[in-house]
Amino acid sequence: MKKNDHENLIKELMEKYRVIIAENRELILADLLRTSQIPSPTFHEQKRAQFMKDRFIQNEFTSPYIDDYGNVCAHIKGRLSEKKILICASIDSPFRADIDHYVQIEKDKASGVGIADNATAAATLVSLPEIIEKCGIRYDSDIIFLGTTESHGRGDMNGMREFVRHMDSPPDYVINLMSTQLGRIDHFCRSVVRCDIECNLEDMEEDFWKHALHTNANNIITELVDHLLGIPLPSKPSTTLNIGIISGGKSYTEPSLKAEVHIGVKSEKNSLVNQVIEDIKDCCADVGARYGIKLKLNFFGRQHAGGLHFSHPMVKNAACIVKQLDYEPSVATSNTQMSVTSSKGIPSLTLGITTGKRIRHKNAHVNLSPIADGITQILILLDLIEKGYCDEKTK
Amino acid sequence: MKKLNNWLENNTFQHSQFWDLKKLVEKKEERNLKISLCFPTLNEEETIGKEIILISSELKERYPLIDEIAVIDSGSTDNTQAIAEEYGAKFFLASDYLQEEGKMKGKGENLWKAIYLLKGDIIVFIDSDILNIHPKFVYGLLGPILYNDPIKYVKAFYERPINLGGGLLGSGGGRVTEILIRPLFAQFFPELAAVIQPLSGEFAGYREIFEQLPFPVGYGVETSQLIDIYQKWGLDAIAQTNLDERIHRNQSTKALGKMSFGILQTFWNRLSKYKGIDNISLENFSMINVETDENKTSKIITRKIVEQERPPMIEVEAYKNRK
Repeated sequence: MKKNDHENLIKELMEKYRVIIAENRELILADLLRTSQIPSPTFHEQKRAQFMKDRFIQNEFTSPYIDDYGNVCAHIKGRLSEKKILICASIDSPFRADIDHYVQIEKDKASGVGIADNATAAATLVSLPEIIEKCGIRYDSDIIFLGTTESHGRGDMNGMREFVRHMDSPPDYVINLMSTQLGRIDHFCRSVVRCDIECNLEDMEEDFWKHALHTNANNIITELVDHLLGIPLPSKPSTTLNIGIISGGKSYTEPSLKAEVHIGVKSEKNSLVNQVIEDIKDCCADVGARYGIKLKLNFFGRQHAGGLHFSHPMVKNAACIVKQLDYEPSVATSNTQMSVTSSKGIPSLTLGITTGKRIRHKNAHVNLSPIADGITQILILLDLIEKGYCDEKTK
Repeated sequence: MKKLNNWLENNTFQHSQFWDLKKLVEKKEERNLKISLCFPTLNEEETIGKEIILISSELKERYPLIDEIAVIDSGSTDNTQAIAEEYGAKFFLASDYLQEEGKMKGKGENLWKAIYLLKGDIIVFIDSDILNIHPKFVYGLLGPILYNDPIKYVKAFYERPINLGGGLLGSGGGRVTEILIRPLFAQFFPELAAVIQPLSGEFAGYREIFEQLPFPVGYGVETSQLIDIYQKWGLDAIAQTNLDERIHRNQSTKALGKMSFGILQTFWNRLSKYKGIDNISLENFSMINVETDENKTSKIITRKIVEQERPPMIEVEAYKNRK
């Protein structure tokens, strides 16, 4: 297909979908409000999942369900079932349930806790089947709508991992939704590992204290951090070690008996993260030996690097759609749950739904009018996947 | 007491009884009724947008239970009008209508003018400061009316945790009800003591009821409605629905004090009208408080509370002509 034909097809679809989505703005905003106002902290997503399941039922899905890991799932069976396209969004939030989750709607803005992380995307997932129906779209492919649990922190993307692990056959394409920012096209996930290191002197024998009068856990952790910062990290392929959290001690006057450091390591190459893991272990052994203690290490959140090249037709098409919608495409790497499928070689992208600010703060807000464009881009991308424009062989 | 218990058993509903919105819409269509929803407002930019969106998407677009959504405003100086119009509600500034009836201002005035401005056979009134608004606030009130012929008026009840900004406090709502209204009802209108939230701002009823009621323009409107409907149509015309929980902003004790003076005045009026207790003069009904200024000097402050009333809408010339 010639470039102009391609652009014309996107333009034509865009005009059609924009009108129908605009006509259904209140339905979309109502889903946004209702989804956002249900607190859904990681490991406690049941209420939001149940709401989403109820909405899927309302859209006359025959068998929406909540799986053993709390994920909420619904399918649109395709006419030919030639391809399987997974559209997913995490439904958990980093905010506690006892924080006020009420959303305020202004003229073109909605603000509230967790609205930008990741309630707007979860709400879009809920609205999509109804919008697809109103647009009169019938797919040849099977479309799977998935709201995933346990995506944050210690959750370690468990919902997504388990869902994909238990699928009969892997999806052909994955579109992962994030609330913000519209225009983002995350095509590659870096290799990641997280590590918590604990120094605990609470249970040390009396003998230890005789020989270590001036020792305290904070000092040991501080020395360890000093060592960690000395680990050599290449700038190409880009590799980073982030000292995320340091905590310990109880008062000004008492020696600290317990201290912790939480570290995140990222790299474009799996082998480099593996190397840094070994270096961290060595640092801990070294510092521990000096003080006659054993530092406790816990590695988790291991994700393997993977994703699409910028030249992949799925990335190029997504960028073209974003451009036609008058937003600036931002093609980048990320560490969303898309890594679960991209590391397995499944073509996967993460897209943003709208624009917003202070996304991880209690007073976050999202802008309402771009949501229609956020949904339009998903529908167009689905059409292009269906028609084979995102298959590598059509390059 | 047996009659009261029977009423409580037969005329108290749960919103979840009416969850099947398809059936509710069928019932409305079968009875060929039009339903209007009114939000009375004064500076409610924080909540009015989401109230309109949630009700209109579910009960107008998805299930056509409501035919008309309107905001009737007392003169907001914030963005209430812009937000209401943005999300598709009709907006009426109360003072722009029925000007020949003279100027009055208050929530009751907005409710009274709603009868003139809205077209529905049934009118639902929902306060516009509800943080946890949900379609059940509307269908929970309409269900008892649509399914039960004798019921003409339905009032909401709920738990009332209050929002102090950062989080929710388990109790503290309904203070005026428990301290003022319930004792007064128990003493003078014991049949109404089974109404769990007599002051709730969420209620629905037939136009033919509302148009025959006088409307206090201020705080006394909910109290007067209950007493007047009870007196004219009897207890069986009234029902109540449990809406579970209503979360709203907390009001200061001072504001509740002012509200109590207004309600008390309306109540006195009804005592005089229905019970023949007319040896209490309302001429000089005043709120008397001790207030302390910045120099810590205490003074007696007297404020005259005038709870004006509008006549039944059916007596208003413009309304007669409209019909």
